[in-house]
Amino acid sequence: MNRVQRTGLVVYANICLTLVLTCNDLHGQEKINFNSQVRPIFAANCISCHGGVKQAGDVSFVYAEKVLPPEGWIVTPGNAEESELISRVSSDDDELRMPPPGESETALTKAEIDILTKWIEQGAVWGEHWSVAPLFPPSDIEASSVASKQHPEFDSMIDRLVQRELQSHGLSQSSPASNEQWLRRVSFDLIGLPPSNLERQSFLASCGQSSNKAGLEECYAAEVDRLLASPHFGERWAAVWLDLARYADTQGFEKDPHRDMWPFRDWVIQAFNQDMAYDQFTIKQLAGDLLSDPTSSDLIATGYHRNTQTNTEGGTDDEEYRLSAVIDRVNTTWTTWQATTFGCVQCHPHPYDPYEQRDYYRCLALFNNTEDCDLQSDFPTITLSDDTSSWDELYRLYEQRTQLLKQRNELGSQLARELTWQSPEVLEASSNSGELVVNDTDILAASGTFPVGVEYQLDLNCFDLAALKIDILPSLPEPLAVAEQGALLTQLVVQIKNEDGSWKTQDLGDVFADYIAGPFRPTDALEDNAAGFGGYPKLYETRWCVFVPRVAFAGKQRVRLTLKQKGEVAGSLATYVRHLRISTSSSPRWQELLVSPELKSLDEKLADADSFVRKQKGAQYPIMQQRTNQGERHTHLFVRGNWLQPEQETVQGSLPNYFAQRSQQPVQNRLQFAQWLVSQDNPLAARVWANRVWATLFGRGIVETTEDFGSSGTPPSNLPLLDYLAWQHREQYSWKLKPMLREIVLSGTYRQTNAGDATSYRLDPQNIWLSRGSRTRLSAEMIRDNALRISGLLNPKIGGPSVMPPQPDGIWQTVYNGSDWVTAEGQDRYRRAVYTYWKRTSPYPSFLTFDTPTRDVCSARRIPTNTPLQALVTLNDPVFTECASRLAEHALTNAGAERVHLRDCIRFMLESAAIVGNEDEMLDVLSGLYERVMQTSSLPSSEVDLENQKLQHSALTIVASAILNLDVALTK
Amino acid sequence: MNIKHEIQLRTFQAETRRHFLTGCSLGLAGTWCALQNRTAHAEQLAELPHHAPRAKRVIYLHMAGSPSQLELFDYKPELQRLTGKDCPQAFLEGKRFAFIQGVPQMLGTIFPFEQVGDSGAWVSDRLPHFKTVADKVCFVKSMHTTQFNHGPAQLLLHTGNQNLGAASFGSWLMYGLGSESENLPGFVVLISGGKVPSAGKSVWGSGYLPSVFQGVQCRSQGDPVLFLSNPADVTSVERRKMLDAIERINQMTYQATGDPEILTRIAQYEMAFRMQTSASEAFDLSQESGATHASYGTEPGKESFANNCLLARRLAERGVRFIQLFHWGWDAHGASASEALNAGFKDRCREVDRPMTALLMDLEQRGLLQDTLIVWSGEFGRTSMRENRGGKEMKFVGRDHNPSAFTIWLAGGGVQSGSTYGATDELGYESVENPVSPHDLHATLLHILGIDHKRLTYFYQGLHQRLSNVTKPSRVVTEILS
Repeated sequence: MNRVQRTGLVVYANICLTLVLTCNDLHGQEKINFNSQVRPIFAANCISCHGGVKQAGDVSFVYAEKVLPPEGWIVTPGNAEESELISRVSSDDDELRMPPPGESETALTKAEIDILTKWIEQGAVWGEHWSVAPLFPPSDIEASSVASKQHPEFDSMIDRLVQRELQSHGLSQSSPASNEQWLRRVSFDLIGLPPSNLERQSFLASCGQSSNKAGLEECYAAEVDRLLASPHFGERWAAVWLDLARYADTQGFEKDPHRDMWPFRDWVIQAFNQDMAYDQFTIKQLAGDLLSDPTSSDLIATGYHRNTQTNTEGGTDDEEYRLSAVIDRVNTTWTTWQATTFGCVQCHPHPYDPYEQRDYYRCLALFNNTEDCDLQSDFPTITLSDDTSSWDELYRLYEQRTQLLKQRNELGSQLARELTWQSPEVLEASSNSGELVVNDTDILAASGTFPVGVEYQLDLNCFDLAALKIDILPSLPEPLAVAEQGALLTQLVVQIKNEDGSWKTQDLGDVFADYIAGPFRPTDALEDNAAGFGGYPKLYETRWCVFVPRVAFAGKQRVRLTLKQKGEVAGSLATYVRHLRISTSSSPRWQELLVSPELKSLDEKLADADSFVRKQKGAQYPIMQQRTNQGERHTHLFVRGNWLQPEQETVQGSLPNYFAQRSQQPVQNRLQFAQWLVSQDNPLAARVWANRVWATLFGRGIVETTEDFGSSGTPPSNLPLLDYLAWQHREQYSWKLKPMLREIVLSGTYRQTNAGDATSYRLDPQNIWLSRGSRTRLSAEMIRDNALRISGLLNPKIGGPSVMPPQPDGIWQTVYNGSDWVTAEGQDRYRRAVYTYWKRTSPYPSFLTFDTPTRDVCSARRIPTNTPLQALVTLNDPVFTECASRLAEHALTNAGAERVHLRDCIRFMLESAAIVGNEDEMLDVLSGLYERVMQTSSLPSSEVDLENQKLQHSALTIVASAILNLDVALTK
Repeated sequence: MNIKHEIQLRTFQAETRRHFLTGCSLGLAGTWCALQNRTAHAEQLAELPHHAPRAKRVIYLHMAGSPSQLELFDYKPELQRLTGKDCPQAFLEGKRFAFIQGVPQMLGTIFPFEQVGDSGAWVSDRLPHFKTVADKVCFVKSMHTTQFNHGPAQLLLHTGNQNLGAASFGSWLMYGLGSESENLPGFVVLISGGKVPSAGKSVWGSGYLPSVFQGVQCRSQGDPVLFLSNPADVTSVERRKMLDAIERINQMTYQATGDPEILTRIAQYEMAFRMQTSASEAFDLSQESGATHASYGTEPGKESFANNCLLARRLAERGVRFIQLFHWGWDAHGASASEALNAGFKDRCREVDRPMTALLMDLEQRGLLQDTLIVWSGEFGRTSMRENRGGKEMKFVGRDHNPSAFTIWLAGGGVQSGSTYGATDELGYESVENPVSPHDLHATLLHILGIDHKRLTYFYQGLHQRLSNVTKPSRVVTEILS
């Protein structure tokens, strides 16, 4: 611990140094930078054998302490000659040389050995990986760098930081884009839609009126403010977040049934529209249920992690898929917030980054105690009625109901713990299928088949029977290594033998359980149905409950118990009790409890809450709900990641060691974990989000691998810029997105024209250094929304259940699933893409073609492609041909006059589409197209008149379709 | 835009394309890598093939739901004797079934078997046509998997990983070898039986590979490729004029911006246009002779396995790299007539027997079998016990899922015909002799296609991912190679 802390301090010092010093130190000798010069040598040549997984010779280049003294033995700081590292990499002896000839064809180059030597001579200071290093505002040196010579008016901090990189690569900033080009870009980037004709004209007019630069800046700023205030802003940014949240309208896997998940999508839209700060946005989604006094909105936010898949295929193991969902939550959290490939650590230590396998399970333990358990019902859910204004009250009552249920149960379970229990004599135990055996007080399912609905009959001798306790035990000794198949008592019938030999069924007044967990109430065991008491769908440990008859029986009684077990899990697998014990209590306090005012009062309140909750009709929305402490599941490390091989030892929830050592606050539960993510102790989250925002606007992140900020990801192209944005977002804008976007889209960097000159393309083909404006294809969502918007078909309605716009017949062929794609009627056909029903096993075809992920798992980056199938969508998909037809219709009717010029019609369409380019040239080509299509008819083609509209409309539709398919229409 | 610069760009474009299109027979994959500047990936791809391929393309016939090996190929007289007896406890301990619970009864095959051909392979009477071509195939009777549910087992078999998110076999081939066809998708998926497989479209998804490599589901009913047809009121002459106009304006945009992605878009629009003609032609079964229709048992215009087999041959002729057929409805648990060995299973056999036999013979006659690799499989096997769902005797006869043993067959280029590899125990319950895992199968199939399975990788989530699964053992089953 001491050593690690000290390393931390050294690291901190080193970072301060690298920020202040340039490449050369005072003595003129090159100062080696660990991260940019030394670490890459280790990564490329050493860590396959000396990494996190394989640590040959107890040397690992992932951990400072495995290299540097006192534990490490291969480097002597300050003395390269005495360092084993240098002698081994520079050895001529094949037996000694590292990397060994068998592993690597070539030895390290002289330059590489020089770097390592100098690094050791200079003290062998280990540097923290750039992504986890503390965040600082830009240094004075960076801040004072000069703006572009050609465009000195753009000297925002972003521009200056970009300019530094441009200069060092022999590049320069491009001219600003035209007002139209910037407007198109910023409109898609901020709200995902092109500007309308009116918006465009009004913006251009106000730009034209501004007589000076300051005036123009005001116009630009006003336009940005208009877009940021638009309710469509949230829809655009939600689309970005929903890939990470793996949001979908179905449960996934084989049957892929429907799930009422849309309230989560709407929550995200509203959160962006309200500009919810990223720290709150994070905490609510990961732990909204654990906040003190949460609102319904906080609870809906927790749907983020209820977007995991539920496997309802017959015979699947609910514990396997519950764990699979929890594992997905851990991986998704680390990908979304930390861009860390944490999934690696599930099976073994991280090969490149300093996370050990146990770290994975520390984190898993934080997520392992929610009530959801892979049931088709998606339990736990809350009913959200159509009237959103009732949601807060609804949630209050839902919560109250949960509390009342616990309180009333506590009255009985407390009493049960206070009293002593006797074991009655078991005279006979039989089953209507399968064999039971009695072993002293234990009754066990011994052999044969125990089908769904199996009934046990137990005959007992009891004395002074006031309450009956049933222990449901696992069939294996405890503690269980792996949860067992569920064991559920769905109804208990108690009979007492009369003197005449007949049996009289007793009235059972109540049932109290050891604790409340799972989808059923203890009292369900009084009814003849498939609900009841026990471990369901899995049994983690012994459970017990107490049945209390309304009247106690004094003296010796012959008692017959019938245990009905109608429970089953997916695949009609019976959840029968395999091991049980009966005990009795003679205390009169049980019957007193049944009539106590305290219980009565709780039950009255519970009945009220129940009746309100049950009356609700609407979405069955899955939520996060923490299990009670008594029912806590224990987390174990899985050997090689195999859930069937847990270690004995229990793992407590906490941060991975590496972060725990750098954190001031304790992290022992989900809420604290969420708070830590967005705390000052974790600079990674700020960097990851800033990078994602940048990537969303520019098409490429400052770190290209938006999903991987570890050693295996690509290094940032401009770390000071990334750090500036992260710092600015967190510190200056208090985690608010809108002001950050405002700053970026008004910067000179963003405003550059996307026409690249020769130097720009030669030196920077990927536009990594940002020597020109970004030019990217519209996203799948934008492709649809754009066509709807410019044809005037777009229904701007925000929120609500997902809709099914037209898609070709026969796309949905999911097995054992009765759902149909019922094509929406009326205005619902024209909703924005973000509202399209998302079926995981069969997503909307045209979206898939334009690179959306399936949303089975978290997806941090869409890699854009350019394929012929995309062309077929925008050329032939009836959705797009309808848009083209409508656009042509508008062009005709908009003209208003009896006879209008063809060019005016086409100009109208180009302007509606917010197309930027040489309008005259385009008009020539498109008028030519119209004329060539019309050649087959005898009508004049240079003018359009209302008499022959039908023919002209169909020709104009072809022109409109061509416009929708232009590269300039598909890109921003 | 400066002309010199444009020429430079064009040369770059042309060179990369030519390099990948001719040098490595890469289609979109190489172009994609070049344009995305994925040099590391491009360099790796340039090494392909790693050795001389024995087959150029794959036709994968997947019987979704998993047919019973015990009713088709894996004949077990000992099991026959035990029919109706309680399953020995040793078989049940530590086993987890999808539906069987308690103590089920053993079930011998319900159909007669005979040995056929020179190879003497055992085939049941459900496949009378297939018996005539049994000498052309190689049976692997010792397949085993770790998954006993359909979805995960299908994912494991087609992506090398039971969890979602990995890339499918076909998408790996698209990534590694690209397409031979300029005008058709290189990875085509055809569905019959009215349902997609349990694991959904992910079994032909691209997972972590770019989406351009995913399989394209084509249909024998309606548009073979989604959105292939022009809108009803647009003629192909009009479409041509329209594309010309689009290209002219796109060229202008390219002149103005210099963005090479525009040139790709122009090329893709042209390919889409060609695909409209060539895909329609490829999927037009009316071009086939009456004799061919009779041999396959095809009925044009319907969705059927027979139609898909004939389409598979037509696509193979046209250079499609990976043709994957899924025929649904093999999950014969005995829960209903359609899913019972003594009812629906017989129909399924009838539906596939004639066409898959015709496909083998047809490919051979056309000289295509020697460089086409055919694989026939389910996703796991069936139990040697009769299923007792809910712990009760069921109305129909069926078997539960058995991950421990199943039979597949391979045929065509690189495969030893007329042979059998591996064996199950006396009751057909476990693979005991030369067991083959899905990872071994992947390594072997890639080997036949000229690919070293350890060298075709894609860097994702910190790992050089590969089809044969980095974390699992795998080997090329050289014993089945010719």
